[in-house]
Amino acid sequence: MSDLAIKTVNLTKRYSGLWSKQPVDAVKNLNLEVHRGEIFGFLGPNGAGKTTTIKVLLGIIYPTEGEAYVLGKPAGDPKNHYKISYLPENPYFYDFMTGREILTFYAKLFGIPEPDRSKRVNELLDRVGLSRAADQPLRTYSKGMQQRIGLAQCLLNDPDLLILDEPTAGLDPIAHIDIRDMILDLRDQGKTLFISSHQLSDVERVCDRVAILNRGVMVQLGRIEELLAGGHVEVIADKVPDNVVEPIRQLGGKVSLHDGRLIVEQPDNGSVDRVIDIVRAAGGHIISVKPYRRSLEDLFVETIQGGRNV
Amino acid sequence: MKRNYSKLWVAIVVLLIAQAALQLRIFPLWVRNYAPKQATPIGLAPEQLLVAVAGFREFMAAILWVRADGFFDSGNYDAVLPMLRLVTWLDPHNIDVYSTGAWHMGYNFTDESQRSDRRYIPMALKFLEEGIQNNPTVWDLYFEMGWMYYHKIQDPTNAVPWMQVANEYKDMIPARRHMLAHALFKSGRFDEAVDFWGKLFLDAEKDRGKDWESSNLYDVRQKNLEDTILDLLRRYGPNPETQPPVDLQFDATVKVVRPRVLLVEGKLGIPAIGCRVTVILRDKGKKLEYSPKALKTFTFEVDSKLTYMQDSLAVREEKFRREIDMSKDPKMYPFKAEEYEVEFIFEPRYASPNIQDRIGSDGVGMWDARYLETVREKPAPIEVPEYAQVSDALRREVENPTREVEYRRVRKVVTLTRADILMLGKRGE
Amino acid sequence: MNATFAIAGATFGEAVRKRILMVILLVALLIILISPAFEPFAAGRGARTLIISFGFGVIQLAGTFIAIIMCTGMIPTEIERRTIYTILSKPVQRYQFVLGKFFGAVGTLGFMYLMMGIVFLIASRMALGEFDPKIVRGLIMFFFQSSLLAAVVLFFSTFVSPLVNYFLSGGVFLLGNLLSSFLETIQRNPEVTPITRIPVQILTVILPNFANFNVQNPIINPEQVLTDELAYLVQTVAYAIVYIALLLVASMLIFNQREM
Repeated sequence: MSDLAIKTVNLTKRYSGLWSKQPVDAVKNLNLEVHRGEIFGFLGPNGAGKTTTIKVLLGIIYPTEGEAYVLGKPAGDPKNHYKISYLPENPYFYDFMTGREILTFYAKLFGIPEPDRSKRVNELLDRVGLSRAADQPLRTYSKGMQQRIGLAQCLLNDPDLLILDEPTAGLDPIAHIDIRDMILDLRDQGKTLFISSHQLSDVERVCDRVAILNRGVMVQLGRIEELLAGGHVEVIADKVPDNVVEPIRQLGGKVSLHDGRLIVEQPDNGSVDRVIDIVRAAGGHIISVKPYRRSLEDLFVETIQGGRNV
Repeated sequence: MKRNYSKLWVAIVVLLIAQAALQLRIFPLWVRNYAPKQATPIGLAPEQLLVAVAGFREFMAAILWVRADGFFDSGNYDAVLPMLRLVTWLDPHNIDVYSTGAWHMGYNFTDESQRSDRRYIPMALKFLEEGIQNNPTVWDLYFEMGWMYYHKIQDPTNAVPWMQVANEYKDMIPARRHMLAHALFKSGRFDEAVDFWGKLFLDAEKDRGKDWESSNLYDVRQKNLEDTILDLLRRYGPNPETQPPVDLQFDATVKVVRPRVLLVEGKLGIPAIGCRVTVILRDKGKKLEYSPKALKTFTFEVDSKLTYMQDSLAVREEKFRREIDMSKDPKMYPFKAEEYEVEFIFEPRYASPNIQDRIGSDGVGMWDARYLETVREKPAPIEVPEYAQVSDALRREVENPTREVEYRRVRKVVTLTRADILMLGKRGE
Repeated sequence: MNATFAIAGATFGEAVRKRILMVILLVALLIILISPAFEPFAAGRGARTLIISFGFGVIQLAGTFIAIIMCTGMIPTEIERRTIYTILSKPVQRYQFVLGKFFGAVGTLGFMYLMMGIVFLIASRMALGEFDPKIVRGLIMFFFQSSLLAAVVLFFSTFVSPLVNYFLSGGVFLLGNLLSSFLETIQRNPEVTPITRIPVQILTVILPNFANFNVQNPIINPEQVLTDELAYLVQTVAYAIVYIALLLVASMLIFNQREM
């Protein structure tokens, strides 16, 4: 179990509000295994149960059924909190404090004694590029700077596991890249990152594995390459005679021919070679062969819509 | 993850019991020291109605009291009374308001000179009683009550118990203690008066050299002790100056000279100046009861149908004569009853010392064939609040007085009808 | 304990920067400062009564408002802004969080009372020409009253919304101020049946009794003779501390099981 950073077994969180008649399962029978050292993407639309799961992992709320383990210990075990860090979505930090003060505050919560505390705070300010703004109050910080302070407070304890909830929400593209680079940097240091997001473009590039959650149920799980397998290849050719259409169509895929210009969308398997062979044999002129990988966005939309149909 | 919270529950139970135990200890002290006790007809604690200005009730009271003083200065007495009610309700611990308020009622709501509207006196007593109930641990109001009897009502017998209670307080102003000795003496308790002067003298002796005030107090008490003993020796010792008795040949007549204007005249056979005869005109049989218990609750309404006039007539060359004009103030003298009695009294307890040397302060040296009376009385029982700082012995004594006093006076009563006084129908006497 | 004090410090820092609390404090300070203007209204004893009762009234009112306004939002705002998640995901126990919040609130109240107290002492010294040390006693009792109120508000804030909390703790404060005098009235009246009296007695013993701290009257009326005053003050302070501890433990119990 110790090679797992996070493990949940049939985790269910049911909310039965005082006034709502129907209990709602925010998370249902979730079985999750996150390995040490990987970046795990935890995806799903808003309200899918991502934050609920994270709160269970942090011990802020308690599961209705099932179990959750973090770093080999039951979720919420106070000892764990020395080894994990959490950055909530759009957090507010006491904005009357300066960057240095807020990091010092959190360092005190970790019980880091002086002089290590100041050393660590300075190090992290440097690392997130806020050394120069360290003595300005947080209310003068941009959104990106605040998020960097947020990351810095996560790193105070040199955690084994970082749980980041929507780390790039509301940031401009440059700040996006900053945060993404920091995430990769952390992975290189051997940290486990558990990133929840509904924004896909950044995450698909850095996550080793993803799980997709919809309405509390996990609908997809796998290595990112596996999930994205099954893209298509587009072949465009010119001066193609009409008689090639039928053999190509037999290979599968979409085919269109108009005024001698052929466009073929082929599933990504060996048949592309055959298409090219047929076109060239018929005297056609290949203009381009372009592979289209399936994007995470596509997978996401397909999965969620699929889930809706279920 | 479910945890075991039994320790916290134990802590809660223990703390709940601890706070309850403390609260039970605090409550009696709170009642004693801080409760806004309400011996008022409103029957509510001020907090209960004045929640809106919770922290400010004493402030409101102080503001109103300043206003009330202004009303008094401008002679608007009708406005002062409700203000007194409101102020003492808001801040029942403001001694100043009780003592000054009672003084306003007892002394200042008057017509002119000696002729005050005595219908206000029971009200003043009731007001003081309320103040005492609300402030049992403060000596001032017991003293004020005693003073009201001693000086305004001229009833030393009933002044004594209140002064005795005030005297039990250690922080009482030393000179005020003398009033108990004077009251004891005037009411005829000569033995106790001498004992008390002696005690006061010995007390003063201890601090004699401390400062000017202490030495002065010592001197005053020494002189008073000596004078009292000398007076008693002169009046009641061997070969007393009070014997044989003087024949007063007391008499008095009343004539209605104009509607509501009486001419009173008469004789009092004491060959010295300084005697005063009290004259009272009242609805027949309606003696004013000077007791806090005369009124069930404090009210600032006087009985508007009741006519009560009291005046004091100076005696010159053994005669007295005065025209009493009651036509100017129909509010004070409504004359609503059919029959009235006019009472003339001379009693020696408040006479000047030279006269008392001759007739005695209790009247043993006076005699009258027709109108002489001997009054035997005990002080009326008084109600001492639970938290008053008095010894049990004194509490028993004042709540159930045993000491009887005796004095002589002359008293004549003349009856008049309403028609007589208003001169309805025929003109005449 | 380090974490508790760090949270207390942050709470204090935030509270003293809260505009509404500062406005209340400044208004109170200003009003106290101009209170010597009452002096010409009444000479001598009257002036003393006016100025001291007014000062105490302003301070008590300001302390009450500050305690309620400050503490209703303390925990709900942290949850709403998600700051609490960054704190509770650190090695911080929930009870430390509750304690830290309370100590921060008490620190803020202490600061406010210090300010108001100094200005009050200066104003009364100016107006009356003398410094009455008994005023300090009254201020300390009010400080404990406000601290107890803060604990009540904090306790409610672990399970009700701020709006409900305003009314709930406001109601408890009023009731806690009235019950004693109500009970005293009832006990003196022989006509009141035990059916009425006993519930009042029980409530007086169970609810936080804020009337215990209203000791201003004998300071305003200095003739009043008090019995066992020191014992009373000591017991009342002990009462405040015990009751605060009770409320804090109950808050922890609820807060520990609370899901955010």
